[in-house]
Amino acid sequence: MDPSRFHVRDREPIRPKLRAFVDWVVQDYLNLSVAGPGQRMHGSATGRAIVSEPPAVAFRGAFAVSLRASMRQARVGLGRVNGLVPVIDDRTLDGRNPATGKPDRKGVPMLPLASGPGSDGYSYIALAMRVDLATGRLLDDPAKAVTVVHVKALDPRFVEGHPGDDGNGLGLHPLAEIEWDISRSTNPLPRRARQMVFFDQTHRFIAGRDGEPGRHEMGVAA
Amino acid sequence: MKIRVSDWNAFVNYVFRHRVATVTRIAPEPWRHPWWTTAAWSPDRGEWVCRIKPGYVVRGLAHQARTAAVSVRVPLGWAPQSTLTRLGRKREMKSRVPVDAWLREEPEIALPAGRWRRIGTDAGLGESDEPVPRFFRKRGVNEPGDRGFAEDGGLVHRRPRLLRAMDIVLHADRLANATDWRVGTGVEGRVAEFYATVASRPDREALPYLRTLTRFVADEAVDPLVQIQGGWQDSGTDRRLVATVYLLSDPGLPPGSDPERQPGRWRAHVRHRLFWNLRYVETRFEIPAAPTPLQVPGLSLAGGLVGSFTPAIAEINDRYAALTAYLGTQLARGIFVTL
Repeated sequence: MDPSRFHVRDREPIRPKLRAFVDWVVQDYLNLSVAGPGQRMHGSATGRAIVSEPPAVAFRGAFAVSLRASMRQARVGLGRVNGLVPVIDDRTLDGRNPATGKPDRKGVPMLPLASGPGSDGYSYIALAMRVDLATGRLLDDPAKAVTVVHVKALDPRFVEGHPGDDGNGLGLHPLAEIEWDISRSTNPLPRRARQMVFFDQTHRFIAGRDGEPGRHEMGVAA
Repeated sequence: MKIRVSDWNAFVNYVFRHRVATVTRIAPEPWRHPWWTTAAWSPDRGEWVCRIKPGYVVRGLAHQARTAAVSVRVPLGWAPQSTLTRLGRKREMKSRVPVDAWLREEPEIALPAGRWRRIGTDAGLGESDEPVPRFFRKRGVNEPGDRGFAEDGGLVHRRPRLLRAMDIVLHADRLANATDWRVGTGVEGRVAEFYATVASRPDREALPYLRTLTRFVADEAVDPLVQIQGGWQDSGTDRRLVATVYLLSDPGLPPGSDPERQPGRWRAHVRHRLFWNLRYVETRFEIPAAPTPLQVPGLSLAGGLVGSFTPAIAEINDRYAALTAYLGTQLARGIFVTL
């Protein structure tokens, strides 16, 4: 509908246009209110456009990985292993000092993905658990016991779906798979992250017998 | 009444500017769990296909590629480009040669014609034991053989819809088990040896894989007595139902209609059964050079024959306990656990 339909020219009788216009307004009337996040209204000469874009109901879960692709960095959401919050760059995932528990002024840490993808164009963000082989318990130092690292490939020492030990008390457990845009021959960028773990984890170290390496048994925390 | 032309035109413009011309709702992309499945008719391929949001299964990687990928078989002609790149193959448009795509490569998975099972309205003999899910019952699918009133008291639909279903099942191969008895003569009488052996099937897949099945029936736990009797063997595969794809027809389609003949008259629905990534826990990986049998001496039954049966029963119980303990250490088992 074009407004010029109701326009009048000089000396043109207005009454027929007025009657037609009033009839049209009555049938076109709409009581309108637009409010709330995700609601937008655009005005133009021909009317208003209302756009509703409600926010998605997102399940994030533990250790939710999101990418800052252009910076080749990832953020890892809050999650726990045996109640411990893992550490990146001497800060817990929620931006605290692991020793004191106080908020760090540098804020939430970002995980650098500088090492890039593996030969297949994928890489992984993983939990790194370090145990004292003498006791079989996670290291006492909260900054080193459980950290988050970026690796080019999954650890081949998996046993029964659990990370095998590297012989020095280190086990790697994948949190997310990163797919890279390898069409760029130099300096590829991460394209997307696919979450693998959604829950807080439990950790138990099973010492190896007869010279066999131990394994880091992971489970979903209740 | 006199209204200036400019005022009138300005008024009309004002009303127009403030009228609602369009209302648009942009649906947010909802969060989808791993294994989220969507199914649709593919006009290009001329068959029903599904897509599955990649799910992962972490298992013993020591013997395989460094990946937690799940594979699925697709025809070479329809394999994703990333699959062809990984396999070093070139696309052959009409080739039906099967290749293993990985879920993370987001292949279109065929739901083959002829693999649909009929449920409800036109289910034949042998298929009718599966009840119609309430969701479809409310949408016009009759139970097979409904006359007038359904068993649940609801009305039978006069122009019923037809229902087809197919299951998508996750498989993980492990070592296969078998048990056997060998009887010989020892110094103190007859001695039996009980063997629980493991073997690798020649077609054993390294990665967990998806297959479409007409109907998935969960593997039941095996009674140890069956295993102890000997001559028992298993498939060497553990399975888990991922999703069931249903096709619901328009009302009034003739019984026995195929979803491939008039695909526009069928609509796909998916019931999900698996929601999280998994680890596959296996108890054994390697085949021993020589199997270790359990020596089982013959029953004496001395006390039982004389008077009370109690000593004989105790002896039988001891044997049974020894055999089940032996099975526990020797058999290869696998279970899926949430990652």
